[in-house]
Order: sequence, then C-alpha cells, then structure tokens
Amino acid sequence: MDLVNTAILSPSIGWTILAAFSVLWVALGWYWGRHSDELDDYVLAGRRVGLALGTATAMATWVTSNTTMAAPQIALQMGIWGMLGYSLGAVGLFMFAPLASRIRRLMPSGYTSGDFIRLRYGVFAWRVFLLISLFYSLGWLVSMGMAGGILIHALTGIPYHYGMTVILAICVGYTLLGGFRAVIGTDFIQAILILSGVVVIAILAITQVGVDRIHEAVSRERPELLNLLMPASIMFLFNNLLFGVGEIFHSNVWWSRAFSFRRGVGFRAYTLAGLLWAPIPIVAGFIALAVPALDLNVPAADMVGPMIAAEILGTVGAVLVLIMVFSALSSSLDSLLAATSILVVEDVYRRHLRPQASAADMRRAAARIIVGLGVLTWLLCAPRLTTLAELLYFTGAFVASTIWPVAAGLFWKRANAAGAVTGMILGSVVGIISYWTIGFYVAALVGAAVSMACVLAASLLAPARFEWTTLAERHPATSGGPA
Amino acid sequence: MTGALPLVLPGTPAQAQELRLEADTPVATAGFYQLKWQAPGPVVLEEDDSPSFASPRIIYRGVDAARVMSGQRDGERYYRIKDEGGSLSSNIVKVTVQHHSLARAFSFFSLGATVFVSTLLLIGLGARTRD
Repeated sequence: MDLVNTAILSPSIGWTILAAFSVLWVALGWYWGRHSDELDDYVLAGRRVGLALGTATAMATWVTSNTTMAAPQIALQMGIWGMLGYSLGAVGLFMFAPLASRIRRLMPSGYTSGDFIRLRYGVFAWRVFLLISLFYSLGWLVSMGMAGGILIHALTGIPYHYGMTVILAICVGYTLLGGFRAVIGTDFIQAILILSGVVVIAILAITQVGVDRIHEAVSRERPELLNLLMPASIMFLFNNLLFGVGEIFHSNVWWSRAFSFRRGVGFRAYTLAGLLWAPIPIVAGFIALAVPALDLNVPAADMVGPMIAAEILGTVGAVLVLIMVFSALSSSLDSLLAATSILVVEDVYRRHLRPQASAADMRRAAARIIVGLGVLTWLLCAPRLTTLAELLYFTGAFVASTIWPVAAGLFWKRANAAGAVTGMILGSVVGIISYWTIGFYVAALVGAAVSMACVLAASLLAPARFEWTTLAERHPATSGGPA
Repeated sequence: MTGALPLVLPGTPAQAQELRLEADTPVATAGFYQLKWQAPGPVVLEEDDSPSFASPRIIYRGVDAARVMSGQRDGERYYRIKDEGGSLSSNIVKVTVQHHSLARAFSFFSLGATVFVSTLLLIGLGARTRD
C-alpha cells in the first residue's frame, strides 16, 4: 500500500536521477572489473587493497541505507538515546580491528568466515553458522531492497515496487560485471557522496529549523523522546552495540575485506572507518527530531529521514538525499551481494556440492549466485512485511549469538565446538523469543548473553586444545594469495 | 449525506466501509505506534483521552494514509478519523501506552554491559597471549 500522496519530487526527476547514477555505477563496474579474471581478483580484489581504499570501503559499506534511514527511524521512535545508541554500531568496527589483523595472520589463504568456523569447530558448527549467516545476509539484502523502494516512494511518489526493482537490478548488474574490485572502487566514491550529503543536510537542519524550535516542539508533542530515562531506549543501547558487533564479527562482508586487505592494513582501516562512521547516525538521527517543529506527517517510521530532508531543503535537498541514500544503498548492496556469493560458492557449492570445482567453475558460480540472490531478494521485498528497523533487529538474535563463538574461536584455545554450537542455537532461539515477547530492542542483547554463557560453560568444563596452525589451510582451487 | 449524529456512530456499515482506522498495536510499550486508515479523500485525525471525544485534538489533516505516533507518555488514547466536512466518522481505536519499568530497563542494560566488557577482556587478553 502506498502511504504518501504528497511527494516533493516528480516521478520524472526521480527516474532521471536513478538512470544517471545507474549508468555511472554500471560503467564503473565494467571498467574496474575488466581484468578480474582470476578467482582471487574477482572475489578478493587480489588481496592487495591499501589503507585509503580499505578505510573507504569499510566505512561506506557500514553506512548502509539503515544508517541513513533506520537511524532516523530509531531517533523518531526512541529519542535521544536511540540516536546515540545507533552510533554505538561503530564499536563493532573498532572491535573488529584486532580480529582483522589476527584473521589475516592466521588464515593467509582464507576466503570466508565459514572457512574459519569449519576449521575451528568442525562441520556441524559450520552448518549452523552458515544457516545463521545466510539468513542474516538475506535479511540485510531485503532491508536494503525495501529501503530503496521506500526512499524513492517517499521522495518522488514512484510506487514502492518500481523503485525497489530498479535498485536491485542496478546493483546486481554492476556487481556482476566488476566483482570485488568494482565493489571497493565504487565504495570510495559513494563514501565521499554520503559524507558530503550528511554534513550539508545537518548544517541546513540546524540553521533553518533551529535547535530551540526543535526542542520546544518535541517537548510539547513527543515528550518521551527527550526523556533520558525512557525504558525502551535504555534497553536499546547495548542491544544495538551488540547487534553491530555480531553483524561485523560473523558476516563474510567484513571477513572478505580482512582477507582482501594488504598485510598490516586491516587494523588501521577498521579503526579509521569506525571513527568516520560514528557521527553519521547521530547526524542522520538528529534530523528526525525536527518532525514536530515542521508539523510534518510521517506515515511510516522508516520514511522519516528522506521526508525531513526534503521538507527542510526543498527540491534541491530532496535530490541530494536521493543521491546520498542511493549511494549508501549501492555501496552496501554490492558488498553484500559479493560477500554472500563468495560464502555460497565456497561453503555450499564447493564444499558440499562440487569439491573438485576449479577456480573458473567457482567464478562462474559466483556470478550465477549473485543473480539468484537478487531475484530471491526481490521476491522477499515485494510484500513489504514490516519496517526497516524491525526487520533488521529480527536478525539481531541470530547474529549476536555468533559473537562469542567467533571471538573465542580466534583468541581462546580452550573454546570448544559444543560451546559454539549450543551458543549459536540457544542464543538465537532465546533471542527470538525475547524479540516477540519484549521488543525488537532486546533481541540481540539476549542472544549474545545466552551464547556467551554457553561458550564459557562448555569451554571451562571441557576445554579444547586447539592448534592455531590448523587455520592456515591452503585453498586447492587457486595458487593461494601472498602469505 | 446529512451529517445527522445517529448516522456517524461507529459500527454503521456504510460509514465503516468508507472510513476505517486501525492501529498496529493496542498496547505500546515503547511509546510509539502507527495509525493507518482507509478513506476516499482527505481526512482529519482526532485524538482524545476518552471514547466520548468530548474535547478532541486534531493531530493531522491531509491526504496521507497513515501516521506514526511516538514519544508518548503512559496513558490511554482514543483516535478516530473524519472526512474534511466532518459529516462522516470512522470507528474508534484505543491505544494504551504502557512503558516498561525502569527496573527491567536497567536489568537489560546491566546484562548488555556485562557481555560487552567480557568480550573486550576476551579480545584484549587473547591478543596479548603468545600462541
């Protein structure tokens, strides 16, 4: 159902902008990907990504449509703590910095987070992990497909299904053409567009509306948003922090970057990316608090970001927001498509179906899987079952349950498979129960806590004696990257 | 359309088909909820503290089909929509805002802090240990 009948841009402007950027991304995708013939080139950009590109890709990938659209949603629903709590998602990037360094050292020829879990904990744990990881990847893809449709509908009135279809088709297209090189290259440009856009919008929001006016209106109409003791927002703080940590620790989006960076780059890239990312959700969230001051009607909470920007900035601002969020969407969709396809190719296709697959076979399979993921995502986006934040945090129980299995698996020899498996399963189940019975703002926290308890209990009762050299497996389908 | 009072009471089939209002939850534990409606044209959305609508507040007037309410304090609220002329009225929807207790909130906060600090210790100590 389309909820907005008062869009600020005309559909023709919307289509023009989409077409222009689509041509740009696809052209860049073709240009950067034209020499990606080897598997390592196509899926890991040759394992030679430097600090500047490394930082840009980490930051741009973490600035998703969720940062620019779910962050304002959370601010509108949870208030001040929601806004600040969302920025705690940067903690995941900071905490992954030492992990990136360790991963690169222990697994010089590694491809996926699935490789790590299989070598560290065995086949059963690996399959449980794969289910969680694929479920999360699909949830994230769907959230971004939905965000594309919602954004375009909010700003131009173009029906949700059209915008969602275009966004998915374009991202599948240039990811298919260019592989991981295209993903990282376009991330750099998209990062610049995102940062510029957010700064401009925030400055204009403060100067045009004014902090006093915002404060007075919110106090009058939505007073609990300013209440630092609002219970749900207090519960949200560590939930969002742990959700971000879980997303980053387990997802092949971040592991693939760790494998692709040059030696010594990972730690600094992730730390810098976290510093650059942290202010963005605060700025994006802040503008949502201008809703009462502007007397703006917000039909669905996940539409508030683009609607506010368009209201404050007029037509030019709406164009700016469309470009900025389209960039954020593209930079994350392409990363997720590429990383998920690597995971499926390596951990499902080669390890389960075709152990003798050559590098060329895997490269072809990666391309087909990217297309398949795009189609599946479209099918799940079409019914628009929920809002962005609620969809995202539904996956929170699952991903947060992987925090301790991954971290303990990398740093603690005693961590054993039984703890990892029970942690992931029990953490997910109890987390989902809490999602439905208490709220979306506690699911990740509960999942992480239960998982931690399982890993600790099992590993203290029956400690493993893992040899780290086990992780330095050579990949049979390639000559192996630089050690 | 005469606008006579008996014709706009909720539950009359003709009005129920033309103006229909619903909320996504009857109890909002975090102070936010969404109101959605079906109407053939522009609407006026009213809110009151009692179902009699003795002193309603107009909180929206326009052509959109939904509104997000957030940051609301504890209490019961009643909503209805009317057409622009005020002659037609929808069904009445009740939403109860009932925030979680602070004790529960701080329990979750403490649990989250414990997990976070423990994870930091795991990584910090593990990174310093020689393999």
